[in-house]
Amino acid sequence: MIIGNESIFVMSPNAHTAFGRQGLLFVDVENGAYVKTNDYHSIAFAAAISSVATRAVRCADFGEAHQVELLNQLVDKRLGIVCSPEKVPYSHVFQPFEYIVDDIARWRRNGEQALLRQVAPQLLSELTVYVTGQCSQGCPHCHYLYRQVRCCNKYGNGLMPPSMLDAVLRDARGTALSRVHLVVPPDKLHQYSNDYGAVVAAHGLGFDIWTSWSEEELAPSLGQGDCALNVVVPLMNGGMPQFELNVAVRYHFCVASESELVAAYGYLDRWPEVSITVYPVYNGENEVFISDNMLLTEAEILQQHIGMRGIIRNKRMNANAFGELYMFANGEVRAAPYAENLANVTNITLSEIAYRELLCNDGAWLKTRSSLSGCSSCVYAELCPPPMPIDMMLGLSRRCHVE
Amino acid sequence: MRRITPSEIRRAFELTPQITFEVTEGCNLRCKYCGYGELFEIASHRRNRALPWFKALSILEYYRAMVQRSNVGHYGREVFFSFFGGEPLLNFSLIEQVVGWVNRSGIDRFRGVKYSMTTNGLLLHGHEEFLVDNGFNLLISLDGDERASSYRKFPDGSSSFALVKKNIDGLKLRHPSYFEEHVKFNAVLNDRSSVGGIIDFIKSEYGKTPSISAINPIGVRPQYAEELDMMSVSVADSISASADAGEISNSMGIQSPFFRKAFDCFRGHSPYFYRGYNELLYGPSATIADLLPGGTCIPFSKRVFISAGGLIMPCENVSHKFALGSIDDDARVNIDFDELAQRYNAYYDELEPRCARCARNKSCSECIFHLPHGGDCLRCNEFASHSEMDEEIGRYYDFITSVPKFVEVIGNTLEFR
Repeated sequence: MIIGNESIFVMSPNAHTAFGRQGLLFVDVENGAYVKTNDYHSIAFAAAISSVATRAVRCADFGEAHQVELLNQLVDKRLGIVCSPEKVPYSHVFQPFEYIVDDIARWRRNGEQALLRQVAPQLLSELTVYVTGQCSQGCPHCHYLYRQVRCCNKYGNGLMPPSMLDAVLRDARGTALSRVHLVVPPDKLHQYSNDYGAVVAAHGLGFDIWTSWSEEELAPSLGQGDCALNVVVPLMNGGMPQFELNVAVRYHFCVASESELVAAYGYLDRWPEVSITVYPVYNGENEVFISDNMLLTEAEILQQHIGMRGIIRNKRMNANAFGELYMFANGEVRAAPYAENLANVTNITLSEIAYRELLCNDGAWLKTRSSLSGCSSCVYAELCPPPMPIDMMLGLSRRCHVE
Repeated sequence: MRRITPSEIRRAFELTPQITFEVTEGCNLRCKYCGYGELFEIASHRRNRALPWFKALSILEYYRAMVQRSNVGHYGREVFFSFFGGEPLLNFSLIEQVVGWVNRSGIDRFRGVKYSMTTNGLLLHGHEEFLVDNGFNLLISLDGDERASSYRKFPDGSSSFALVKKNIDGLKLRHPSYFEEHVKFNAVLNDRSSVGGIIDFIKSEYGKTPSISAINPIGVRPQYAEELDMMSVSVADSISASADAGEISNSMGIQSPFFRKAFDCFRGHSPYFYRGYNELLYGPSATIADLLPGGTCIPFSKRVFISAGGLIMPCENVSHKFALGSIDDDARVNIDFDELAQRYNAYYDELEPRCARCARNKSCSECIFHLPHGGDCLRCNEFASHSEMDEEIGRYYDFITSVPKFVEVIGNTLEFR
């Protein structure tokens, strides 16, 4: 590379720069090409290029050998280009200079509570409703399971009156709520699906049914049309049940050990035409299994190609939880099943609850990797998938094998 | 490119941020460059009419019924009830009636209610308490110092400057915190003023940065075009001609015309502009298929403007022949959302062949109602090729990156939302 006196180095619009305890990372978020250095002398260069919106610096200002070496690497990986100031090849695109009109982070910072309250209802998109806290299934590790997967549970005690759901949905007409997930126990699957499904449908909302697996036969009418039937196959303490799958049903296998994982993969092989998702779940004692099967390697993180929108998103929100609320049979509402109780719908509307979640300093919607202790100083914090229920359950502060 | 639907227009009406009443066509000034004055075609249509209360009441009740029937998306939103003229304070009794009715109407259960008014300041004294008590946002028209304001004359030709200034000074003295929070200035740039001079004057006298606009040439009578042209100066030219152009631009901040254009360009063309967190989550929806041809506002999305004659207009700058509806003499409000959608879609059909190829189509601000007709069809002179647009984006990007905290500035300014 020949660097003239007037040459400038311009970052590619796809290049993301991050500083962290591992050093300095430049990565192309579209194709995964990257340059990583722990040469802290290069930080001046990275700081300079990150601080100007044009993301261009004069090469002459960074002429020391190690800096030239870094520039060469960046150009080789197409993370930027050296050119004359008149011939910047990226002039036709804006550099990643993000602006979000309804920017919750900015409003929170500036104390703009009225604006937060105004926008909150438009952010609520999905509601999970646990219609009863009376479940006789007796699944092992229920206490852990229901906080990671939509399944019936014993939280909230009694049965939610359909009139309560009706009132909640009526109050939610001003929101962006478009889908309701009804969680019902298998022994009342048909009755509750009909009763509560009718309430949801009367408000013009789409809905699907979630239940736990049981040996009872599923009625052919379930899982038809727009209303999907989801069956969660819970933890069986290693003894995965053997049963015939129904192609109209979406199955969610929860696995907590190697043997369960193998058994679940057996279903995947045997029923390729059926929708099956396998969830490694935490049961209070299987950290090693989780570590072996869920944590990402550095290479896996770098190869995700999340794009610049993914980076901006990961800086600001938890895409795994954002926009969802979970309502239990007694009216208590949480932003995620593992999260703290926000309020009770018998007192306030879902819009107000969504607003409370936006105000919450430790809420689920805005929980980013950078706000977790183990991730905040990590160079991959904005590349890594956002926190998932299992991370929060385990108290895992990072979801990777990166030291 | 897409087309508009009746329900989209109805929703825009329900969610309109402003209902503006032209309470009177009468004015106690005869500003030379006034868009309703003798130099303009529209002057022959203005007959000093005052908006009757029953017509104002009709649209208020119609609006209230709309927001009561459908509470979709109203949560926490605000609506401004605004008063325009002529000089609105000449029909103060109607303003009092509207404000009194709105305050009792229950609309505040669905929207935050606010009031605003554009005034020449001549009648401020005597109405101050009412304006302060109701938290009116005032936009006072003042072109700068005495010479800069010398086109703003009484019917006898004498200058209005001294009396206007006395009234503004009095308001500031008697209600300093109201003045600080609720009063803004708008100046019309002319050949007797400069952007720098206007800013210096209003900043030093009142500590505010005015918005500055050029003389509006739309609708000028051909025989007066030259006279109007002699009075006119472009804001950008005035800034560039100044020795301290950069400083002026900086002090204008978001009032700078370039700032607005840069923002529109950024919004339309940057892949890193998002309306909200939902777009961050699901991706922006603005592909070419989502765009409407041209840059005309969706009817009622900016305001519902009620003319003194009872016409329902998209804004004050559009000819009455393009009225969106009317309030008739038996107090019936006539808005046909189906017909409006058909009418707008017919305009879009004319524009699309050119708009679809135009590189500026994501940041277009050309209003259909101001476009010239060439033969039988609308003609737009703002067509841009991709290379022209690249160059323009480059200029705007340089500007954006030169303004410290551009994002913070626009983020804290409601008009950019």
